[in-house]
Amino acid sequence: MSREYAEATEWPSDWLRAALGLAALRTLENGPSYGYAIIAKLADAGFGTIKGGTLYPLLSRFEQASLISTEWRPGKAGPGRKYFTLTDTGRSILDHQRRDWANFSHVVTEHLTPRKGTQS
Amino acid sequence: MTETTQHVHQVWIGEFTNELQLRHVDDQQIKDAVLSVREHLADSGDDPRTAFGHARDYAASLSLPTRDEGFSRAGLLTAIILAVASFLTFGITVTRWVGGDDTLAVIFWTIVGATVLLAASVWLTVGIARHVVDAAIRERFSGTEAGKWSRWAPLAIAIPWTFPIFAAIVFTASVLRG
Repeated sequence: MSREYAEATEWPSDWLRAALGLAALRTLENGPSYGYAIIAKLADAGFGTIKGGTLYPLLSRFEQASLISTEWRPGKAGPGRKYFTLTDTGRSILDHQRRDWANFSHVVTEHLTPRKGTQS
Repeated sequence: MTETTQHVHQVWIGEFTNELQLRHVDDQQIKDAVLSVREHLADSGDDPRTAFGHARDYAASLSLPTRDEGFSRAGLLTAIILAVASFLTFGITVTRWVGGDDTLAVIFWTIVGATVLLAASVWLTVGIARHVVDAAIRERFSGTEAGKWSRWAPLAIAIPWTFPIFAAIVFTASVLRG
């Protein structure tokens, strides 16, 4: 999936809502990151431009559920950066839900694929 | 950042801070949330309203843990224990006093029982009333439902006075019997 494809397609908000949590955890799989960098990674992955008002509440809930931990690091200028790190619990949830999502998307795709000679 | 942009950011952040304070979010959590907003605005160059929407909605969406005003659980338990203990003390000693036992110890514990009972009832009432008032203020200014505090407020405030009312009944019954 490319960024160009996402820019040409505006995903329905309820699809995004369902997938965004898992996608945000995935952006932290290879190491800690901060809010705007996560938004940029999601845009690169083809999710379109995710607003701060959508991402930060999600990260806040993940932090309260101990799926991620946070740490403030000083920035070159401005207020510094809050880095989010995937915890062991978060990593385990990501692994588990990634498999479930693959199965789910397969089921949906199979169901939606039209077949010759069938009505439904 | 122009002066106008800075002003727009300050106004939005001021509203956001007020909303979190109305929700009794811990000061450290408010500081953290405001710094995150500043960080995002500095990185993206976005207008706060565009990036986060209305300050009230964004404050609600963060679902940050709130601290309890009014009574803590420990305070509530202490007040209830004091009310029950002083009610029993008063009940026993006042019955003996009315029955003719007017020793100094009986008089002393009757007065102590009555005083502590009234103090515990006032303490419970003030603690519960603070919860009710806080919930009403939150509902009025931040749109958070007052929920059970709104529905059960009159009953919650009346409950602490059950003890003094029973104490008065015990006293009256003792006097009439004596």
